[in-house]
Amino acid sequence: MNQLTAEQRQAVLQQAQQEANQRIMQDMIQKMVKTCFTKCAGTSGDRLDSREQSCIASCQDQYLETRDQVQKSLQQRQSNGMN
Amino acid sequence: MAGWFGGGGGDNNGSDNSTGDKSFSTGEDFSGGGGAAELQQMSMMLQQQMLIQQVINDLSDRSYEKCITSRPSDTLNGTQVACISSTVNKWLDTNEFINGRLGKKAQQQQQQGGQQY
Repeated sequence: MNQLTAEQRQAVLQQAQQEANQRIMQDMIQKMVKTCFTKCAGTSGDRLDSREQSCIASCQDQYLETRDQVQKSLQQRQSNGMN
Repeated sequence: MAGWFGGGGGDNNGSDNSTGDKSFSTGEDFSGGGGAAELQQMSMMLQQQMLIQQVINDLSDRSYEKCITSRPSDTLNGTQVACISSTVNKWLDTNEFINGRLGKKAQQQQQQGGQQY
């Protein structure tokens, strides 16, 4: 690392950031799949039927909203703490 | 498989492994170049393997919980086998379904935020 120029170092850091973001995204998707699967999937048949699909669609939308709300709550708390 | 563990490292002077451009190396190959690319490939491969194993572990757990609900016995009966197949397939479906929808949402956002059609 010591032999890199400032530019190269920047590029490495950026890539690390991108990879971290990707991993976080993947982590979220995995959790979302798990949660909605547990909630909506039955045990008969080898494909999701239309009822299960719409259940999962709703679950997914609510999950994403929940995540948004969680972020907002955290931000709120942080800004409250600073006053 | 042995090649990944035996052929890695920085000593590229004599090997035919590197398919990349050697023009950036001035003779000493230890500072990155081919060695780093190989390491990265190996790392990615290991990560993929890990991922697959994790999925298998997770699905096994999931299938067991969902499907093996009666008293433990020596083998699985037909209903249980069908249930496991169902669980695995629906799981893969769910993955596809959710990722597909996320992709569509991302596309929609791009279209809204970018050019106006």
